[in-house]
Amino acid sequence: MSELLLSTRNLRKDFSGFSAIQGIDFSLNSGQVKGVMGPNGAGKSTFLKLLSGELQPTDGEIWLKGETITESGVEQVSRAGVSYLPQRPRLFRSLTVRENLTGAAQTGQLLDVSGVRETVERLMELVGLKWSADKRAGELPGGEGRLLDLAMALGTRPDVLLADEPTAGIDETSAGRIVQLLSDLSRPSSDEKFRFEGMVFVEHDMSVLDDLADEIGLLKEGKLLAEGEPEQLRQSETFRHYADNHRTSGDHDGNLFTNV
Amino acid sequence: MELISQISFGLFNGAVWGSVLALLSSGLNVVFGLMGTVNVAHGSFYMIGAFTSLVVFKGLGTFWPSLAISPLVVGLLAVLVGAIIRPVRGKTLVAVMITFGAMLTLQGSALIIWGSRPRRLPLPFMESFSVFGSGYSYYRLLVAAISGLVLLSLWFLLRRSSLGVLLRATRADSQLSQSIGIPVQKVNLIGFGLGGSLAGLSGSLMAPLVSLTPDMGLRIFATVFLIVILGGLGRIWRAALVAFVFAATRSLTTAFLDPTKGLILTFSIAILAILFESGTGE
Amino acid sequence: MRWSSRALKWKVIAFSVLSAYLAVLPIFAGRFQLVLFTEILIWGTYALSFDLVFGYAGLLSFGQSIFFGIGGYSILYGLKLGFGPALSLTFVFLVACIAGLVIGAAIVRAKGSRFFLITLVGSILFYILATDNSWLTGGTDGMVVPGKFLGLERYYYLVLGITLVLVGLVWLLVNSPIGLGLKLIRDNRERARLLGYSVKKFRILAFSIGAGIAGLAGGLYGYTTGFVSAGFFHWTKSADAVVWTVLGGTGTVVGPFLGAALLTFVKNTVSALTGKFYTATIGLLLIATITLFPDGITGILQRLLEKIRGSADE
Repeated sequence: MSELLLSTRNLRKDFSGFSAIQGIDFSLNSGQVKGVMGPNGAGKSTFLKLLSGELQPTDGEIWLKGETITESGVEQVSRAGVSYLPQRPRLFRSLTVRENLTGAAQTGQLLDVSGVRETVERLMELVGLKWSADKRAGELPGGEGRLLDLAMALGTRPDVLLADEPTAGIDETSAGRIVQLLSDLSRPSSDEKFRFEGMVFVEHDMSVLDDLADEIGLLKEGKLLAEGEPEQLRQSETFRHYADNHRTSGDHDGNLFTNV
Repeated sequence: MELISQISFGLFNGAVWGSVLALLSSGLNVVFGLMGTVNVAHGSFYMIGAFTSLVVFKGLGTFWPSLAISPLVVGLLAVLVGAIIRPVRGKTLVAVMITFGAMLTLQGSALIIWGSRPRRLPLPFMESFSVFGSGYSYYRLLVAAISGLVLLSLWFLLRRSSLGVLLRATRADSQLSQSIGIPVQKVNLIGFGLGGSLAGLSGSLMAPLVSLTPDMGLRIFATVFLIVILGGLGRIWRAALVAFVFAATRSLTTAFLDPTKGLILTFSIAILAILFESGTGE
Repeated sequence: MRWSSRALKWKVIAFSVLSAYLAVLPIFAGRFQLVLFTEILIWGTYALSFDLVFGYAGLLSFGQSIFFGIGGYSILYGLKLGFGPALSLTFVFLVACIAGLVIGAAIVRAKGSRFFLITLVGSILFYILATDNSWLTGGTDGMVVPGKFLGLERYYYLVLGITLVLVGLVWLLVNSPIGLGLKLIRDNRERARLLGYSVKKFRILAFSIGAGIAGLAGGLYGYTTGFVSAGFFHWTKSADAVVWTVLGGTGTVVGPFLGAALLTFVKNTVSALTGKFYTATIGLLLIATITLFPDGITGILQRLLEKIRGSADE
């Protein structure tokens, strides 16, 4: 039931002059959701980019369902079943919402026109964009744009979803919807067509991490310092040390917010 | 000694032609560097420069004033084109098409005014000197000298003057420049005007040496664009170097090959070079 | 969804009406109009080839004249080899498609401005090659296409038939998943790749079909005028395709025809515009269209229709 879905071994990424990611061993099992947190510049986005194939590691290995994807570029990784949701939505701005989704849904099944249409309808319902079906993607406000991006990522039926700060910088309603969706679709018990098997996401917002993640990893200066269930992690020495050094403000719920 | 004579003749002409091409390619690069647009009308600016010399010659009886008038006239024209492009700077293909339209308009206008029959301008002076048994015209030497001087001035302008700093800053990062308070719009237009003036001057310089037709612009544009790509879009001085090499090669091959075959050969090699340079970038 | 099926119905109706009109045209049209319409259909098809490559696939190709010329000479040699007209035209399409495939495979990897340059230089190159090898091409004087003159009406119907079929096929293509793929690539190449679309394959496909259509236009032009020359390769042909398409509306199936129709009509009737004034006029038109109505005539019509529909709904 809980097989290894995605894993890295000694993953390393150097840019000229400095090492962004230093020897990370990471694993994601089927049915698991892992959150990654850390200060700015820790390498969180870089980590996700390495997993998605956007960046090539300097050293180390990445494995997906038993196959190595270390050398793979984005198209191969995408086809292998990994969808990446970046911080800034990448939409087909001059095309309508429906066309965007059709584009995502029809990959790999160009000829099944009616099947694709059905998928698109369900996706629109899922993210609540049905009313905007014929709106140009470029005209969507921030939150809906990200919902569309998420829908597109789901449209390719990935096994693994990589999300980079899915709730950052958008209105509360959309953020709430996204968290709800991610939560629903990551549950093994959910029979929704677009369920994915595992997710790795980067977040600053502690409450989101609490809600979604089975386990949280703390990334600092390219190294995975600690990993564990949210409660466990909060008790740990490392986390306390980190929290003390990075606490800048808390919201009114008392949750920890790192300085963005 | 026949061979040496031919080679040195070819090299000399190559140097002259190369210096003019360097002027033209620099003009195109200045514009590209600033606006990110390839100005298809650049060749037409060259053509207008040449025809301006014709007009000046016919009107004033002498050729020389056109060397000052052309850069001005064409420069202003270029500013106009630059102003039209400004709103669509971001979408390169659209801007290219506008410059394409400008090219058609300019060429078409020249066609209306002067017709398609080739015109000729007499050499401002006929004296020549001989080296290794070949005659070289002093005028060509002058062309090379003037081009060289202008290129040098351009270098100083870009490297040492405050305008040059502005131009280079805007090229590097226009958003940043804007936030510092640099009048990006104005600088862009000045750059466009500068590029145009260089083309206009080239046209005037070459006017006594070639036959003037309205479509001379497009033909030379293909060559100049080629040189600019081979040197690297935006790399002014590398392109200038390529210009010289290109011209030398052309002159030497024309000396030994029939000019049409030479042109075919050059273009084919150039296409291959561009493809090779593009690599696998999609 | 209600909207798009209604719009679709209107489009089909408009298309049928237009086709019917064009079908019965020869009955009441004079010689001059018949030739004019034949030309408009051919040039519209030719412009369509450019639109497919640029408006849909996002490749600014200055090289459609290359395939127009290849098409023209293919029909010449096809007929000379003894193929009948039908076979010759098929031959033309195939030859042009294959040429497009070969050339496209080599050049689509080049980015925007480089691609443009390669097609520009390529088109000049082909023109020089064509004028230089007059044993093959007859140079600028050209060669006569074999075959009897079959009558303006016959030629008109031939061209009309082929054009309608082509338009139908292209329309099907751009509204198919492949067409969507092209639109995706044109809008955001990186994201399309992220979704798994092979940019290279789609571009080569679009380019070679565009080449085939341009070639077919060239073949038809040579066939119906009975004459082919190196002029078929001249860069001004490429320029025409660009202007007609932009004027009519890029990224549409009907736009190229509107642009070609308007300008061909004007060129042939307004005598001031023949010859000298043509180039400058289309230059200004191009600039005006891009800056003022970027969606071309189809854009204007669409907005008009929306206004009408809007006031009708009230």
